[in-house]
Amino acid sequence: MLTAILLGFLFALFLVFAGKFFKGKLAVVSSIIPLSLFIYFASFIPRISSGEVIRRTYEWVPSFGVNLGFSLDGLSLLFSLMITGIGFLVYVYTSTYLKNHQYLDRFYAYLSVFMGAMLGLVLSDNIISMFVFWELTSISSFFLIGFNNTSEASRKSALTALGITGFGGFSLLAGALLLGSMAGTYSITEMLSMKEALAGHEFYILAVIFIFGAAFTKSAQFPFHFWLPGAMKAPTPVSTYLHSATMVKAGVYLLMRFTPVLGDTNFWNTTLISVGAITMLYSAVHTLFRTDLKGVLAYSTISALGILVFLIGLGSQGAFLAAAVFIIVHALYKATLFLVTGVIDLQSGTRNVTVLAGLRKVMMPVAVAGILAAISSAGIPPSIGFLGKELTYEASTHSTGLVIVIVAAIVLTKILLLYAGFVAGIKPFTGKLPEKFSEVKMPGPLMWVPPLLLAILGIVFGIFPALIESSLVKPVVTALSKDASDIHLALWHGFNTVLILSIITIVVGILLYLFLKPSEKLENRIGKLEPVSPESILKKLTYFFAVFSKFWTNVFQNGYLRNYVTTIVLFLVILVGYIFIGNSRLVIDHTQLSQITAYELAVTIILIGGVFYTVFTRSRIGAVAAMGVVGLAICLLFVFYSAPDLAMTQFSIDTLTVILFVLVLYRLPKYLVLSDYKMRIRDGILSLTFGGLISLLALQVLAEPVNSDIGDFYAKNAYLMAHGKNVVNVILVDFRGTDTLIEISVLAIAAIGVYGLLKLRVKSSDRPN
Amino acid sequence: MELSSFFLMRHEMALLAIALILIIAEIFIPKQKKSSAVHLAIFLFGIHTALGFFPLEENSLFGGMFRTNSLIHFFKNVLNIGVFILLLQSADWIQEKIVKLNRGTEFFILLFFSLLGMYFMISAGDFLMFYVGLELSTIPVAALAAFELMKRRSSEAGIKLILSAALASGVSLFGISMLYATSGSIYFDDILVAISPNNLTILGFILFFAGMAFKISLVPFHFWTADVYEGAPISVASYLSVISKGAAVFILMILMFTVLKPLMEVWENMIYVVALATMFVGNLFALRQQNMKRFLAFSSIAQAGFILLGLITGTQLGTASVVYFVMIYIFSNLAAFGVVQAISLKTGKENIDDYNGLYRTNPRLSLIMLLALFSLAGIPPVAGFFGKFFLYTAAAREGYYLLVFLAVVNVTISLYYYLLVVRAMFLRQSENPIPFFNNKLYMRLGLGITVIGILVLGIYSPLYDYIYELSAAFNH
Repeated sequence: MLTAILLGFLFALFLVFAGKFFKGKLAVVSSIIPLSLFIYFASFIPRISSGEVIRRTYEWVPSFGVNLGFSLDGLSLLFSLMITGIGFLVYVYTSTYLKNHQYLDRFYAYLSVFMGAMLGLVLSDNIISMFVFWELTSISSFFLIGFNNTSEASRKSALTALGITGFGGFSLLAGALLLGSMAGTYSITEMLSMKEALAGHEFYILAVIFIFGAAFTKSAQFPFHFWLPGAMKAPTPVSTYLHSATMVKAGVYLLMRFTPVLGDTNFWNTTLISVGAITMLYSAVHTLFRTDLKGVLAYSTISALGILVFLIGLGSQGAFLAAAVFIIVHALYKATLFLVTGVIDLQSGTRNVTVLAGLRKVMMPVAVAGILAAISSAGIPPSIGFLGKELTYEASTHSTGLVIVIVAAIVLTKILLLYAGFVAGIKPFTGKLPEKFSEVKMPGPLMWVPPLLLAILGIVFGIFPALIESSLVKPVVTALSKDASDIHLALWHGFNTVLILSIITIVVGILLYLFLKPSEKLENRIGKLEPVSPESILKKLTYFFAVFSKFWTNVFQNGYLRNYVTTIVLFLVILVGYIFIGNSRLVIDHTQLSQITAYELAVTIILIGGVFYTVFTRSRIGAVAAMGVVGLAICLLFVFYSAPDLAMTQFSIDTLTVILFVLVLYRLPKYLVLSDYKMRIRDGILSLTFGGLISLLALQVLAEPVNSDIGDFYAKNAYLMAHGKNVVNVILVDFRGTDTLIEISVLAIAAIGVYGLLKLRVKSSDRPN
Repeated sequence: MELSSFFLMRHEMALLAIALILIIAEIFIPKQKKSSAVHLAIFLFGIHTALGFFPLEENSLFGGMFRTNSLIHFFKNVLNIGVFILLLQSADWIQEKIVKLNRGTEFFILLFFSLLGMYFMISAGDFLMFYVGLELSTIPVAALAAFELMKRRSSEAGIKLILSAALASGVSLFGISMLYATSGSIYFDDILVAISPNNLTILGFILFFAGMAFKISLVPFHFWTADVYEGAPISVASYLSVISKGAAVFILMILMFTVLKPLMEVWENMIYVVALATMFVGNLFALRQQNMKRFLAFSSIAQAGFILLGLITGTQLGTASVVYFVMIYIFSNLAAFGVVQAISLKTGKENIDDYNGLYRTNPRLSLIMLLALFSLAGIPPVAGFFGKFFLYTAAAREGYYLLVFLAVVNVTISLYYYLLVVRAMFLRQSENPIPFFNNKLYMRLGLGITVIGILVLGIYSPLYDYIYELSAAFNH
């Protein structure tokens, strides 16, 4: 099974190297790959229909429980067959459609990656690997949508599509991680047995929201639907394959896959029914206002996806059955209509339904395909579409809750979809052939055979539903609801409510088609509502987000180091202050401290004076000199507290620093006043607070019990081990002799540096400009 | 102490030797042939990288000041590979721009000394060695940032880096001294025994953390990042963003998971807040950047926020995820910087708008950039996804659901701006696109290795399990 999935990727890899030899007619050879995969998956039909589930697990990252687990049940099988079957026809079709395209090999490579990813997605049993394939389908579709990357609109919509589905992908990842930690496993099969525990989990709603987020974006549900019409800018084979038959159904697949795990709760069902209903009605109404054939098809596809989501939401066995049949129905007729549209577009050069007419005279087989598909889409017997519609109505009338509303919504949708199907499949072929289309030629057989084949299948399955009953439909229902024994598909169900609804649908739909002609005027009218559509709202949000981000970037990241330091110090003051004041009682034991002597006081006063002078002087050299005074005062304090070595080090370092400072500052331009009064007060307060806090911290060290016995160690051992009476000397030259050596070297190196600076004469040619 | 035990410092000694050889070579190579020093440096470092893979025993030296074990050894190898790629990518730039100024060798020497500092830093067994390593790793980089003396921006970058670094390491040192005050030792092993979550220790830790946060560019210590990356030569920005950051993350993690583990209650909350702030600030600020280097700077800030997801856990899983993530991040970011470097060298262009239509003229470079950006964004199946995924899992397993969720939200935001670059390269057209050019051998090698890394590391899972085993060393 792994090989089957990898085949697409391997072929794409092969094309990277051998693509140059793979132009023109030869491309049709590549359709062997989907065909052989189709045969491979078809060979599983007997085993699957007998209720078997085939599993393969490959260890991948065992320490995380992420394995490449694949399972093939009825649901996966149906999707696999669709992916490979329609894939085969699309491969064949493309070889003529893009015959002389410069990058034909790339197109096939993307298409193969997509097919592999899609197969991986529907076969994965592990949510994480499912997510990986999920994102791969988004990426490969990005390249396919943007394939005509000379057109501005096509590039833009490719990005929108990737953005929306990418967002959905991360929602899936979040859901997967959450489910994984709720269930303790990433395997969907293992989750099946934990249904109750998961439904009662505190994070259940959240996990479901994430899964919905993924499914609704991918399957173009309201309000995320707008990427799909945009994506129709892609070459027609892509629209056929990705945006009607396979990829957009991945969301539906996800919902179906998780129905046995997360489904059958109030939240799950209500959300799906409402979102599905809104989507199917909203976009079905939109089809009335479109004049571009592909626009009509795009909105009717969204509407069909809405119906599927709606059916999953109904949650009854009948609804699952209807969904399973409708997936097949839709794949057959919608793919046909898209392929037919592609032919019309390529041969006549337009997709505008208001001008297209009478094309049957020049391309009869295409017209047959289109008309058959329209019949199936309208649900007129004996097509399989009729069967799908009957089952949908059946499921709706048996639903609980607001049955009338539900039934009304679905009937209205179906009427509008009938209209859409007729506009796309019948309108271009009927009527009088306009003068300008009289030269239109019949396309090559590789282009008209695939749609015709699909259209005929739609009728054959309708007349002989037994062909798909136990092989395809039953296993799907089994995968969803465990029990599918009493399913029986037939065209004739007797005279009942459902049949009446069907008749109403067909009659009203045909009337609508006859009286309402698609026109630009209508299209313009709906264009006025554009500013309140989800697409524009999202665009505005993105725009505001960007403005917001720019504003903050300019406020904080303004390029001045002094502002950066201010922010950092402020942060430290708040953090340290919070912890310090929150937790500690600073008590200092005065009795332990030694008396303050007069010369200590004097040095301290000099020190403070030096600090003040440094801060307030306007002369750089003065500030440096004052800093030197501060340093020397500290040296003296070290001397008072019997640390002569430290004093010595401090003294030399301090002197060096002052010299270096002077050398550098000497070359700087005149002192500039960069701050105003307010800023200086702000900075003053901040520095006082920071300095104060650090002083408090230093005092805190006194209050803490320090368990240091280093002093004792040296005092004891100075004479015993090093035979020296002056402990400090012994430490310097004996215990830490190496340190002293290195200290001296450091000083020497620093001195060399100073010497270098003294000698430095920058040539004017070396100055930066 | 046996003389042979010095071989524990094999990496350090070899690198020092290389640096010294280069100093000598600088003296003896005649002025007209200075470019051969570049070949020499890359050759020597290549050998050093290869030899680094020989196993090393687990032990310590100098009474515990210097220690090494298999994870540290592994990480040094990762750093070596990163620096090696970086050298390959910088070779052309040095040949064309720097050798002319007679400063080619200097670049390598400074870079190697900084790397040496990182070796010592991550091998440190006490705070003294740690601090010396930290400074040794930082100061040469400041010199490197100001390496293009002819550009004002480069000088500005250098001075901003050194001033911020001085502030940070000062604060850090103050924190270390407080830790010493309360525990009475600077040896990690002793501190572990003596440490307790009292007030002074906590404050010491916070100040210490602030200094490290600067190195990793965590919010609010991140301000220097964008300005320095923009001004510094691309190789240096690249070095700062991957090698320097990686090493700092590593040592901070080791310290937090071992020595400072008793303070976990404190740092847990702190890291939580800092992680969120870093991710959001990095991502928000990246949205509107026009310059590729600034753009990558903010993206690298956001990435640091993600790393904290592993740091907050304090578990073996966390250690392994962080090391794995850093490794993949090194490859991905080097790929991105490599492309920026190649284009900047040929055309001098560094803005996102300049990349419009790149795919038409330079499909290979744009594909490499695409892989790099996807990997940074964490889109499967490239390696970056797995890096992030393991971090999520490690954090989720400790119960940080909200944090993981917000991280995923951030990934979505980041996807937006990574796609802006993708859009420029693949979808936009330009009247005056970057013309087609061929890269020289070194650059091709440098980019090639990163591509292999991005593609293979994600899928080759035994590597992850291997790191997980090694991580046991720091999680008892």
